[in-house]
Amino acid sequence: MTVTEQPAGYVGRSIPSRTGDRFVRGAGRYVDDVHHNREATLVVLRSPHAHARIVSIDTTAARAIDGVYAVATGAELFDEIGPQQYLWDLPGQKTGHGRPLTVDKVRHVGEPVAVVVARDQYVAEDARDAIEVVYQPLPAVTTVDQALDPGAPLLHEEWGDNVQVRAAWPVAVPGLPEPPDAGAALAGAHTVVRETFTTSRILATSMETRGVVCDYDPTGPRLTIHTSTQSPHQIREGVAAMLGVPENRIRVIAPDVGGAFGMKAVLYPEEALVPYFALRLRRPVRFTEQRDESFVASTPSRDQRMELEIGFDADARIVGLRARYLIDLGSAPSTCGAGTGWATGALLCGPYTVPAVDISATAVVTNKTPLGAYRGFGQPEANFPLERLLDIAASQLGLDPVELRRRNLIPPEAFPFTTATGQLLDSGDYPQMLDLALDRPAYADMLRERDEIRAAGRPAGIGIAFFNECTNFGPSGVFPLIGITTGGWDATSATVEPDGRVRLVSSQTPMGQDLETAFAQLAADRFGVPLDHVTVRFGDTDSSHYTAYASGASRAAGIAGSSLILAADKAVDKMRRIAAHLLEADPGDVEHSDGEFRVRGAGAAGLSYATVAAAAYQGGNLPAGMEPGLETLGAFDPQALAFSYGVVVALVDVDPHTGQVRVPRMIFGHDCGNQLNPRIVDAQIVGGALQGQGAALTEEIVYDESGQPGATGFADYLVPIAPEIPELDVFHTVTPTPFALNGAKGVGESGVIAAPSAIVNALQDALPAGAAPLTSIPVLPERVLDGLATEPAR
Amino acid sequence: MTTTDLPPTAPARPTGERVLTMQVNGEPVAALAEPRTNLADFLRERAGRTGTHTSCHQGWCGACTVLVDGESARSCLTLAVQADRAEITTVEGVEDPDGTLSRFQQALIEHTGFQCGFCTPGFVVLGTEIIAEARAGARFDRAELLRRLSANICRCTGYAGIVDALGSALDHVTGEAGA
Amino acid sequence: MRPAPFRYREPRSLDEACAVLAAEPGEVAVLAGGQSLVPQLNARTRTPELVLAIGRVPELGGITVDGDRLRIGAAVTQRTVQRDRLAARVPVLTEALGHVGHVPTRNRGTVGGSIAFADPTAELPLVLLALGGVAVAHSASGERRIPAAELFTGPFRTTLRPDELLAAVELPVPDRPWAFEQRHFRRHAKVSAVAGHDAGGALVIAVTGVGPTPVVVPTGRAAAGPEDPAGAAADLVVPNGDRYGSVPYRRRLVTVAVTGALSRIVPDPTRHTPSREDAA
Repeated sequence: MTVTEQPAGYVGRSIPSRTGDRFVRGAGRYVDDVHHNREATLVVLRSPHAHARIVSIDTTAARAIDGVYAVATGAELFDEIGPQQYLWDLPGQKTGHGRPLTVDKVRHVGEPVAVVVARDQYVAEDARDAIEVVYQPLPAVTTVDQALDPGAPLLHEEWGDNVQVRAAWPVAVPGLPEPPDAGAALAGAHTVVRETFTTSRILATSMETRGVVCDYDPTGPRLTIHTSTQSPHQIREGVAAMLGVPENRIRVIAPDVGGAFGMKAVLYPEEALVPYFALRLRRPVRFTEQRDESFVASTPSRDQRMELEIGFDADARIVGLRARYLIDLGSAPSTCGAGTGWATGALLCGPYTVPAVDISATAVVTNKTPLGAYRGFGQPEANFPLERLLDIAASQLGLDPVELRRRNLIPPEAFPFTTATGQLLDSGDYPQMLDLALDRPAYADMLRERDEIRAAGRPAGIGIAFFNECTNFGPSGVFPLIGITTGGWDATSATVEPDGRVRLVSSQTPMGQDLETAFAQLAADRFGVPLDHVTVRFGDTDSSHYTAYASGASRAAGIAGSSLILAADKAVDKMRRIAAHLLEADPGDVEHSDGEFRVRGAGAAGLSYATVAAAAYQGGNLPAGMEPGLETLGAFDPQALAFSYGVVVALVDVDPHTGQVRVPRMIFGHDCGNQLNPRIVDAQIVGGALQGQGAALTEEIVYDESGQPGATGFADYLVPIAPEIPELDVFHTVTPTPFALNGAKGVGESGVIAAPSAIVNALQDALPAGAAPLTSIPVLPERVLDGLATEPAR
Repeated sequence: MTTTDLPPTAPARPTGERVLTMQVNGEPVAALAEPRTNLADFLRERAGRTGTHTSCHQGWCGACTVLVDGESARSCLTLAVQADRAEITTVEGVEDPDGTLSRFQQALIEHTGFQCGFCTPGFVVLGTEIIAEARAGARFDRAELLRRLSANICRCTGYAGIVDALGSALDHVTGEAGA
Repeated sequence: MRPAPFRYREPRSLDEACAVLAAEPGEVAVLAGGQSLVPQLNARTRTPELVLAIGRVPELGGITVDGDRLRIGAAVTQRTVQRDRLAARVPVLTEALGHVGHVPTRNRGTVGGSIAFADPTAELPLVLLALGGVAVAHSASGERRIPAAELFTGPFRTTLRPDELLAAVELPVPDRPWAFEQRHFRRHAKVSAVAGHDAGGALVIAVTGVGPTPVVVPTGRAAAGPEDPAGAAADLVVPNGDRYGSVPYRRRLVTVAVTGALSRIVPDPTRHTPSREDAA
């Protein structure tokens, strides 16, 4: 990994993780570790059918079991719990019943039908199995084509069809010139390539499943909800609205979160059901999602099919792009709506200069689990078609794939650059990144190893893919235009305690991205105090300031980091004014350095944080009109998004007998602007790249024609395991964003975006020259064997 | 009929509950459990050792790995009653009694062999067994280490930090043996 | 994912265990290591009325060699067998054990349990069949020796009667090399092949993961084997493919596995034979 000069402060250094000590000792505290006296356990009965009418539900036997406290059906709860809200609410979107339990009809395997609350998980499952439901099965809609068939069964009869929402680009803006005509550009193009690409339905499968524990306090009553979420404030809003409980009586705590990857970004039915039963039974209630149900109850992602067409001029420069794509949304929008599908279109131009676009997206409903967010959020779905088609174009144009990309990458002098879909790209030097990747010693190793593998009689190939990643989500002013119903800013509060130590409370939620360490570094530098003088707290709506979007969309370092800086600066400024008062000096003459305040030019000893803080809290000797105390709030709303970017080069090694693919090496070049902690940045990339490898080669949830999912456990859902890891060479460039106070862009999602494209490009390179293009992920061994069986082109 | 149940340390109750006793991380634990109670639930909810995590209840992920009489086991696939009178080591029992971390635990921190931390207890226990084997003379090449680590799933790290940490802890064992 | 309620008995002798089996009217699940049974209990795909735990039955422990037969008690764990000096006299068994689950499951899972479970893709039933081993069953009415060829009747089905307990398995100690080869896509399309020569010198090839049970590939029992043993093995694949293991794909993997196993036991005269120096 590239060594850059060591910065003066803590920021930019690979400080070891603060969380390690508790994690390696087993002292982490996750939702399932939280227990309350008299707690009961909630279990959900889920539909075994993809599409069926509920004829009757008999809960008599379940209720009779010793230790069962409550059993309820959707019909019984319909008026008790209101409908969910939608974080992504695209113009014209249609919605389902929005209730935690369905009432008259089930629309996917796993849809909640009834609940049991009982003494423990064992008894609750006994009672769940004693509920008798009579279903009248209906024909299932399991593909997007079926859904769009005019004679298709309707999932939501009142919709009139199975289309949930549509979106299109370019978006004409009144007062601005008409967008260029992509149709004309393509018609006049020198070369046009087109292909249809599929990105399969996959699931984040965090190792910790979802879980909710709600304590009940008769005062009010008040509810304290521990839940495994990325967004505590959003959950509080959702629960309050659905249960009709004021937000100030609900406290949501996200304790240690055992992985989330976007899958825990939005509200789930159980987050309303658990507090509902805590209120109703006046006792604590818990829910722990079980692994089998997680495959039908937690939101999967991707699942798009795109027909993509790109035209080039005689110099192989892109003149226009047309895309028609379908999003298989599942049975109804989750709170995430068709957000991922929207992002695909909005970001489809990627890092390239695309003068004209004609993109249209259609989200359709099928009898599958509703789609949600997963690391990358629509961007891997855009990157795979784009980067594959560029490779296909390169061979058609007789150009090296690298050269084709170089000709079309947005040049550094063009930033800030507005794409044809209206996205403002803040900064970057894309061509430099490409060149650096090919200059890596690891690239020479890769070429040599490829030749060695081929010499040994096995197919091998190298593939490249470029990407940019939309991070630092996002400007609140823009959100309503793109269908998001909340604000995009973030908040940090900073307290200088009476002893002068610093305590931060962030509205973010750590879930593996080690914010605790990164934010401490940022704060220590800003306050000018030793790192161990800073503590950082998270994930509690009673102590952290409201933020809507919390941890998602790669926004912690830039957006929350900027709010932290604002909070710290306010605290330092207040201390400077107190110090000036105590030193009988003008605040403008008081310097702040190394955790002390001193009068500029005076040789005298300065005042320590402890001294200034003591005065702030004693309160009797403060500047006139100043309020006592030392707690400040910083809230930061970015002017614009920030786009990280990078390049992935992959080597594949194919077993010609079994069609199985290894990825022995990968090079990952990345730029996320200023890095708070390079160790964390690398960890995000390494972990993300392997998730991308899983998406490329092994992971998918396939539904059969009756709507049964093909994976309900790790036996069938093939996440990468240790022997499959590549030798990964990570390098960085640093192009700070002007739109965050610390110049940081996000990195959380970068790993997964282009890794599949690079691996599949490499795989295509390993196949005989005439082999049909690989257009779907994952690429399973049989597909590889088909490709290998191609007669070599002459 | 001449059959006898396992002599229970307390009379079996109608629910089938019986008192199970174990040494958990060197401390005696006695608690009631039904025969169907799995060892993971017993450790987490009866013995208060929540460091052992469950994630799949099918033996695929290894998050719940503990040592039963010194040998690794899936505590989700072990009935608590099967571990009656056994010595159990959970992740909480890997460190020294004074709190000093094992070399593998330290190495996990040095190499960022974790992110969200949920699978970490399983890997700590898995690695602890491998290191014990190395102390007893076993040697592991990289391929064998990766095979051993394939017993458990991590979704965050891409395994790189875990592999490096275990390699470094094993190097130390080899160094000790060589010295 | 927790078991439904069951009664639990932990007999202290083989007679006692057999007596329980004979007397119990409802479904009994025999629990040895539990690595196959407990996943089913957790998923409630199996809800026995009684779980009979045999882990503490002394007669079911122990690994012995009697003449040319290796005997493994039904309660002996896979890991114990894998590391046992006597069991090492059947190297193909040790080799196959390396493919069974992972160390933490082998630490508790038993050889007998895996064989009685009769997973149609499992390694140990294949080894038992290929080597011509015997399952020793006990019941209240005595001992019954079931040759492997008569043991496996279908996926997860054996000829063990409900009142019978698998007490031990016996394997002949081979005097010539046997090879185990496995090909799979993760845990899918898992096919395994065992090849070797029996005491009479006849070539034996057996495969599993091809159909409802492990099967011996018809080789004509000739030392040289059929002309295309891998093809013959591939022809045994029956259509029950899944997403990751269609019939053609499993045929291919069987071919690769059989070819690999054969290459290790049948010296190819056309191939360069390593000299002592090469081997060093």
